[in-house]
Amino acid sequence: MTRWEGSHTHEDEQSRAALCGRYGSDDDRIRADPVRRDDLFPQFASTGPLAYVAAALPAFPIICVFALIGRYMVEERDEYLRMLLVRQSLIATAFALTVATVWGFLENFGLVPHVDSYFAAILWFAGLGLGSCANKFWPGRAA
Amino acid sequence: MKNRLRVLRAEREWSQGDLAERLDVSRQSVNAIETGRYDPSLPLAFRIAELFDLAIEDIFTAPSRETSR
Repeated sequence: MTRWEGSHTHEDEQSRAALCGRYGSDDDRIRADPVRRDDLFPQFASTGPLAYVAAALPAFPIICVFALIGRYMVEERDEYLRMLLVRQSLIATAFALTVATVWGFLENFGLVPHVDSYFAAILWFAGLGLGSCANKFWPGRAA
Repeated sequence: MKNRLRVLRAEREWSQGDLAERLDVSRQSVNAIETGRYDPSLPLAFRIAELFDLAIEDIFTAPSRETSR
């Protein structure tokens, strides 16, 4: 089995699961968390910094999206459109943080399965949609 | 905030797009200001006033004066 520093081994998972009473068997754990780290890089033998860099690479384009949205927010010269974008982003942030926080506490009590952290970004993008809807029905500083 | 923007624009036969172009803002901004959904910032209010060669108070009705009527 592939193992690198800082990862959880299958034995660690089972002992922890047994302690938490969360998973009855390895099949249950796989059903709850089908993406296993040691299955992602079957040929990957490096345990050093390169493993972290390679694993974090998919995050780079998403980070670029955040940076570009921020840059557009600063560069937009029209104050009304800028206000709409800021409000949309605030709603997206509130939505993502709320769902992530609630899910985290539910997960602590074993009520919901673990979800990878990058889903916070997905929630934020979904929140942009909610923010756009809110902008339609929630006017600016109305008279 | 109530304003006379639409009237002033109609007097000059400008569309919302024409006014937006002269003010260097988007057409949505002009629409939002005309309908009272958005109050412009002070610099934009000054630009609007200078464009129509009027004082800001001649274009926009102060909220305090709206409630006193």
